[in-house]
Amino acid sequence: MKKRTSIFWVASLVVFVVINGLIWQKQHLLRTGEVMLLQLAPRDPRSLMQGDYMTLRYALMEESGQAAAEEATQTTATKGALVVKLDDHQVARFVRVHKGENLAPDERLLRYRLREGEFSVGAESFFFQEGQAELYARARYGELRVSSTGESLLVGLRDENFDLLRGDTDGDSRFSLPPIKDLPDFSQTPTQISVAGS
Amino acid sequence: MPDEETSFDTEMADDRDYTVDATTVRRLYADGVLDEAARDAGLEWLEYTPAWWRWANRTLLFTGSALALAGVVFFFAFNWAKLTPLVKFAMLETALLLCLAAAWRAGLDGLTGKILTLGASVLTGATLAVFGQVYQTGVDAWELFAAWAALILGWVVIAKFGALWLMWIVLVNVALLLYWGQVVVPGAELNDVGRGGWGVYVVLAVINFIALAAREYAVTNKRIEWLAGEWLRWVMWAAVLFYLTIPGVALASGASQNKATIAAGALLSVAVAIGQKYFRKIAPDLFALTLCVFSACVVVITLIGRVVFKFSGRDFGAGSLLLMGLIVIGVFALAGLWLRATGAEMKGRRS
Repeated sequence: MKKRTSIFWVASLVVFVVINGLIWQKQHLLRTGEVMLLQLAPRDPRSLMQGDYMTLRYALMEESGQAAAEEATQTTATKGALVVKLDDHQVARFVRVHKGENLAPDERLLRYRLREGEFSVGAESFFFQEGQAELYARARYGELRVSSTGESLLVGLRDENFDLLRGDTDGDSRFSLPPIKDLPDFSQTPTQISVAGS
Repeated sequence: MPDEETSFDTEMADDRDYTVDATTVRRLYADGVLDEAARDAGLEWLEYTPAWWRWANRTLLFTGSALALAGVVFFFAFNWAKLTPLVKFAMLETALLLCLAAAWRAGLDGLTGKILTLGASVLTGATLAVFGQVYQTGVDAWELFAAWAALILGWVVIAKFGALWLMWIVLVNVALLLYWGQVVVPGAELNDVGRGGWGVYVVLAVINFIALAAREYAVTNKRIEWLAGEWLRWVMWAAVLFYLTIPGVALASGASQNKATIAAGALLSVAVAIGQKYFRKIAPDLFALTLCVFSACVVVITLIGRVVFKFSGRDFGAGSLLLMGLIVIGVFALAGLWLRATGAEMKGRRS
């Protein structure tokens, strides 16, 4: 029985270590990662709204479409890295597929997975609070934090002026009560009760 | 003490005064002096509560708990965006830790401890789900389910709890289904014939069959109590037959003939053959047998239907549909008759 209890706590410790390790890793990437913007492919974003998240499609994937198709036929590897260059607004442009060579000073890595003959950097969907689809329909760029090895994390969406779209954090407006001033005033006793039809 | 209690009724013969309360009555019942009817009559007389009172009591308790729980859920749902990620994780991990500590305090052998361990396993999944939502890294859903299954494995092994064991198997099933759809045959619908989407059904059927066989062995040969619940067998056996019947029907109807469906068809025949032998002779179980028969009926009807609609041609009319209706009734009636006879025979053999 002693042994069983110790296995129980060792298993519990492993769960906490793994979960907090994963969280720490992501927080570290958030703190130290470089800002990289990925332009969203031009199409009506509202058609991609799925209620409380939207599906993102990056222009980078279309620029690299030819390379992706070649990569898909040539190798069986499903993971790798893209080499990109950042412009003045930190927007990433596709350069080539990384083959292990050294990078020029202005080049950056971005990890990908090969899916259905297309590159995917992950983060193809963006979750937001229900009822805020209108706000996020203005999105033009996805904002990523990227480590030097190309690990990326989607942190938000930006509009065409590169401003971060901030969600209203006061909850879903559909569920909030009307402001008090709009309520009928019950403090005064009605002197006359009107009956419908009279 | 127990001796004094059991001699209670004999001592009643001498005319001494005894104060009897509800506790005494329950103890007498526990010791086997009173039968159930006598206990109920005694309790009814001693602590009479009107039925409406008990009903109101239970209803208020139930609605009260449900509303309080709904309040908790809505509190978090409404304030979700206002909580920073680290607060979310801190809350979930605190709940997880409390759950584990309570399970340990209650003792891992008792039902309370086991249910709390199950609760901790569910909370681990909730934490991973929040992780996947907070950090939008494009982690595939299958990876979260696989991580969930891997993380709770330690608890599953030591908890000795059938429900947790089954939950783990369900997680493995879901992880594999998602893995198949996202990595093995990316983007393909699971019934996508040309791209081998059927394969996953065969793999899942084999996995669940192995788990079921392990459960049967553990219960019959190793006398492992915590897997003894028959519902575990029913869920897994239904899963095995479901995973094989879906591609089996695709094969029988002629919609899809490839390696996976042919394998599934062959395995389904084997599974039904093994099942009808095992659940009739070795471990009599009429419900498991019924699942077998149902699966076989579905495939047989599909085969007959294929022939009927082949003869009636492209523009089949009401006639062939009526014929099919009659055939469906006939096949199921035959199956029902057979099951009834077999059930009676099994009952006769057992008694």
